[in-house]
Amino acid sequence: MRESKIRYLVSIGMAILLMVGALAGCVKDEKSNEMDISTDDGIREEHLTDKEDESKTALGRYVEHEMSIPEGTEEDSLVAFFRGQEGILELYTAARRETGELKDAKRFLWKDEGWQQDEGWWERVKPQDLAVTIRNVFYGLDGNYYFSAMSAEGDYIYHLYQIGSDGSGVSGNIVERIPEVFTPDPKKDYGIIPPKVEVGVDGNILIHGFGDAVWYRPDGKRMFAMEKSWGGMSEFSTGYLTAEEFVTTTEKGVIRYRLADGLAIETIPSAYEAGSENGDEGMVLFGDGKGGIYSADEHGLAHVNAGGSLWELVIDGSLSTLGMRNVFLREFLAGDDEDYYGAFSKNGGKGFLLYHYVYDAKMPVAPPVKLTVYGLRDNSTVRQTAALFQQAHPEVLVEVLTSADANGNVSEDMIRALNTELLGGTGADVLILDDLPVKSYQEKGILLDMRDIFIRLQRENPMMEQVLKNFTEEDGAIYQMPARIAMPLAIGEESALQALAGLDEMADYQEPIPLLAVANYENLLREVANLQYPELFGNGETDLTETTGKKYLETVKLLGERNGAKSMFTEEEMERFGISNHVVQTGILGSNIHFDQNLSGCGIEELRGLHDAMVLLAVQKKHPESLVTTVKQLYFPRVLAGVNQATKHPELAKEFVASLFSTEVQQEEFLDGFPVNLAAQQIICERDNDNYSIGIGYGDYHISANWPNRQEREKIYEQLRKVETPVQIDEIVMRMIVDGAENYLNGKETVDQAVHAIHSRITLYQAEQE
Amino acid sequence: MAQNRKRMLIGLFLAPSLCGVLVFQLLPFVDVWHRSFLDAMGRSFVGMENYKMVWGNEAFRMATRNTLHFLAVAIPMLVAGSLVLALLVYRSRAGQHIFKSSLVLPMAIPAAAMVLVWRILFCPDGFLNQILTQMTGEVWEIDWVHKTTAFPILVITYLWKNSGYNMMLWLAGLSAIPESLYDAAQVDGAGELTQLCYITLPCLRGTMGLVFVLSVVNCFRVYREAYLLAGSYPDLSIYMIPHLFSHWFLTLDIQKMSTTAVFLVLAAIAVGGFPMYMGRIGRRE
Amino acid sequence: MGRKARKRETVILVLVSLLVWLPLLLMLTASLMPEDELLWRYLSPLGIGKAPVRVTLLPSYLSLEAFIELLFRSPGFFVMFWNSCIQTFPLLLGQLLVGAPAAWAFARFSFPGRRWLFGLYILLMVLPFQVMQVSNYLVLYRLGLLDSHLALILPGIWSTFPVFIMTRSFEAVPKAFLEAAYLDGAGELKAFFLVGIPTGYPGIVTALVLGFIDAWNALEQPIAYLKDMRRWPLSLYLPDIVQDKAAVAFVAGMVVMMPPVLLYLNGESELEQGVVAFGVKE
Repeated sequence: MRESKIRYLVSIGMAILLMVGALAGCVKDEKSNEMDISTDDGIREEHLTDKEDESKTALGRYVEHEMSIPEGTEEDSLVAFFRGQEGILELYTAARRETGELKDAKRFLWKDEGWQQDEGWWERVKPQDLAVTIRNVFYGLDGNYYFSAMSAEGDYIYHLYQIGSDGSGVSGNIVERIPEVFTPDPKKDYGIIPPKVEVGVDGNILIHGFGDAVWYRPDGKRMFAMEKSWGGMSEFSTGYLTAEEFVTTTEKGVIRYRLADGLAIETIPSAYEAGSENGDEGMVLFGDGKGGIYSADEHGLAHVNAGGSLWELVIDGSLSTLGMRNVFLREFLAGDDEDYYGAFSKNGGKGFLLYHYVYDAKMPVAPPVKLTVYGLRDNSTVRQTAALFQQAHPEVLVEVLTSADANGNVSEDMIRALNTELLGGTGADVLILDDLPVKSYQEKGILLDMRDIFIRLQRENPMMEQVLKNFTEEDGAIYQMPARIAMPLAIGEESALQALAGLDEMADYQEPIPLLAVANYENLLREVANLQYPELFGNGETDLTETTGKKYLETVKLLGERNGAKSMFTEEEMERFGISNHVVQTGILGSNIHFDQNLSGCGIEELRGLHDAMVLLAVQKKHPESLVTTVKQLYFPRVLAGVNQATKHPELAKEFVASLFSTEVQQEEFLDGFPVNLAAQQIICERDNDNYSIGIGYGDYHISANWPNRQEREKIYEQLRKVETPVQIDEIVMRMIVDGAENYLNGKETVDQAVHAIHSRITLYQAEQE
Repeated sequence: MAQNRKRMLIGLFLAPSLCGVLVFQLLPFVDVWHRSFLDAMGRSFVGMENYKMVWGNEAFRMATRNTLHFLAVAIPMLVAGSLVLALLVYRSRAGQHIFKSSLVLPMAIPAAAMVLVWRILFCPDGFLNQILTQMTGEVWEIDWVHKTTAFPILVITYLWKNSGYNMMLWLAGLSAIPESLYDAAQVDGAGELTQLCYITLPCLRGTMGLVFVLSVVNCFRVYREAYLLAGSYPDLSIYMIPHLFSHWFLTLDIQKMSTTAVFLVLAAIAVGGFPMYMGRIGRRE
Repeated sequence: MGRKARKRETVILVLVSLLVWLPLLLMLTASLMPEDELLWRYLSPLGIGKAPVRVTLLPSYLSLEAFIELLFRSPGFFVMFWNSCIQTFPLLLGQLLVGAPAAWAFARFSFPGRRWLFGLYILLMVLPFQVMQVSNYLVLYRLGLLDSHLALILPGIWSTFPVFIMTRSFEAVPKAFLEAAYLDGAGELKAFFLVGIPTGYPGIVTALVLGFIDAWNALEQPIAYLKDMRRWPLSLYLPDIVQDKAAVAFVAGMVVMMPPVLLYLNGESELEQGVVAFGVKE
């Protein structure tokens, strides 16, 4: 019976697999205080269940203490923070010039519970024959101090200097290392400008790059490269060296490379899966000296033992500065007594904060009251508010929950899970309503009337009147309010801007240059729908009549034929046109650079803050004849806050919403929208941020832009204050349009067929709600 | 005495199941029934308002029509198809085992994995279009799951998934027919067709009911595939009651869902499958 | 009966079986493909881009990369695998302990209201999960079971489907067997354990195999009742993966279906006999 034998063997194989699975599970289960797959929600929830089970008995957690910083360095930038010779903490700061370079570097040593300046350090160590600006200082594993600097002579050459074993430079033996590596290739303008350099025990030099790190012999001979990810910062890179290994991150997680041959010996999946608006930026890794790894980022400090793959949460990010979104984690180190140090630079790089983390056995693991904030996606404004709220209310644990996966994808099942809770009279206290069926929530009475908060806020700390009005019901009730807004801003000559006025005007624009820049059809459909929102959807109704629908599709097709739109672009086309297949909800991917090259009659950008205005303003400088204006005073409400009527802490929940609108939170510039608070708008207008510049380009085109100056900032905010009409297209309807129009736009169907298909679905959608 | 003992015994056998069913099945169902008379948040009594609203709802009518259409097309095909398969497998004694195992496999495949294969076959760049292009010389780029062709695709999916299982039920029925009947027929000189019509089919009448009920139950489960393939607002021809449920859930219209559920139960009772079953176990006495 | 007809019938069966095997083979091949080949072949179906599908039943070369990635480099996978086990096996045991006696009572005893009660069991079996989701949630919430494995296990144990199947199989136990047992002086309990379970055994296995497939592939319940992703079962691993890790998506599909398939192949003869039990009765 051969057949049964095969069956028998297969079953045994499977049984073994099952056992392995079960055992793997068991092992993980036993170490229950370690995290398994660990989304950040998971970690926090664990603490909560602990708390609820054992009530107030669970004590002991790390407490954050702010460390003093040396007098006179309040406005300085953080250059380096590490433990040098004999484990003494060292701090390096420098003042930032208007142009962004660093000058007057200072060295401080932590002695007798205070910072002591090593007077004259920079004068001693800086090269005598070359003007340089400092970039970084570090203590190599070979026992020598090093510093890196950029030539200030405009040639952008990086220099690495070895100071000697005490770092003071008193012995005067300053040696430049491997200059040939950093000298530009004669064919290129720039040499290597690494975000970070490290030195190993044997004096080998590791140069972090943007996608890999290269290992050099002390004589400058290149040995091999090790792949790593890069968070996008020019002066920050994740990873550290030990005697035998280089530990860093790739997109698969934390990776260990063997320095003997550069081979990856282990990949440990990241401690966190859930997507953050901040991506992987700002993760600091460091070793525990026993082969284990620490990882510090906004989720907190996590540790994994040598050979393990399960991260244990040591410090909860949500209960410390780590969880704040307005500071940038630069360095995290372990002390000698199971204590830790963290260094953060403030937004914009001016000023920094130092913290000491000490275990306090008497501190409750988590505060007694829990306030839950739920949103489909991660959001910086909400996280920042949570962190500040946490500090202001030590008795409250603010838990921010999100559902979206690491790519920001949201499924209907997630909304159904939330609805199950809401219908059951439970659910989060504060709801961030973006992309949730707000209208139904409101109709069904899920949301609490928050008018009292906003009446108070408007009296004490007013927000934009028109936004407040847009989201106030006829009877004066307020169920939802956007804490941030974005606006479409168009640049172009007057005739082009006028053509944005309506569908007819768009279709009638007959210039040789197309009105809108090339984009894939889905984005184009979305862009036109958003820009013509009042005409298409009336006054916030989901209805799209067949006549308007037809005109809309025909206009999109016309615009698409003129600008060369397609359903999907190939890699090569994306490269050539500087576009992407990536679909954004508003369809506005930013087309200033196309306008700049005379590829489109107007450039349209969705502005979520001044950083989005930089390129726009640079483009305008090149085209002085062009105008910049909002599109029909439309705006996109973001971070819509509401309170669950079933909350057990209505006052706290409302207070949380109020703090979303506080000047303190609103003045922080994240990537999620402009503030609506007027005082915060004023602060941002007045705030300089000189050392911020960007450059973008593709193919032969390149443009660089600086942070807007005072006058420009005012100009942008002047436009912002003009906005009147919130654009809120029902994503379900938009989806129907996109699906239904595809074949028409590809030329496989007539417009009537497409409009009919779309219309019948919309009718069905409305019929469901009757 | 004996009567009491027997009652206790029945209680002993039935109680564990009954208690749990009461808590985890009946209680929620009563809650559903109760909700069909309340507003969405369950705060106030609205009488028959929900019934009127749902009954007059265009979307509900369309979903009901399509569901009935699907049942009317798919179930006869499934019942007949699986019967034919069962007859074939039953006769091919040599490979019976292999065929049986093969045909039951689709039941165990998770929907998400199956949908990937389906997309390979039916997407605009898919295999089916390529074959048609090769055969006809014209370019085929039909998006099979998003057009009116979605209906046959869904029927195929349903048949693919459930045929094997139903075939097993039929096979069981077949194996219970005494050989002696066929022997006698052969002596009488009856042909194969005659045997099929006068012996096999009449003997399978009982199995029929079972196959039918389970086919209907499995019908509602084809939604997962429909959703993964064609999205939440698919071609209107496959817009069925589970779609409606899913959308009402998103908009918190639980009162409408509850009402529809009550309709569903009423329909199930009315169609007669259930009285038939209840009748049958009663008949044994 | 002609040999030709037989041959023709076998050909038909082979063709029908191919309808099952080819898609499965397609999946298996895709799971053994190197990532770049997979993307080259199936860009469109994976929803990542647009390119003609290039179907094949043989990869250019075999790559176990995706299997290794899933089984050894994704700790999440085994946690979820383990969760699936925790949620499935106790559920099946419960169904057996609770369902079998009830089915026996329905099949063997007559008592007032039996028909109605059984009818009710059937009705409860038909209702789609979505309808019951909120009401179930409330029950679980009141019992404090949310966000625990029990939130899936307990309602599963008292699903009425296995009772339905087992009742049908117990009804098929020949009366003669039972009477013989009673004659030997066996009480009802003894009759159940000594005659009912052994003769109804195939029906029980059927119910369990079907229950296993259901519980193993459950999607809605865990999403609705388990907020903590660390308790999510393997079935939820699948939809998650489809988006970015293409090859792993196919492998996960294979691995998820493996346990039910193997369980079936092993329990197949019992399953078959269990189903036969239905037939015997008629």
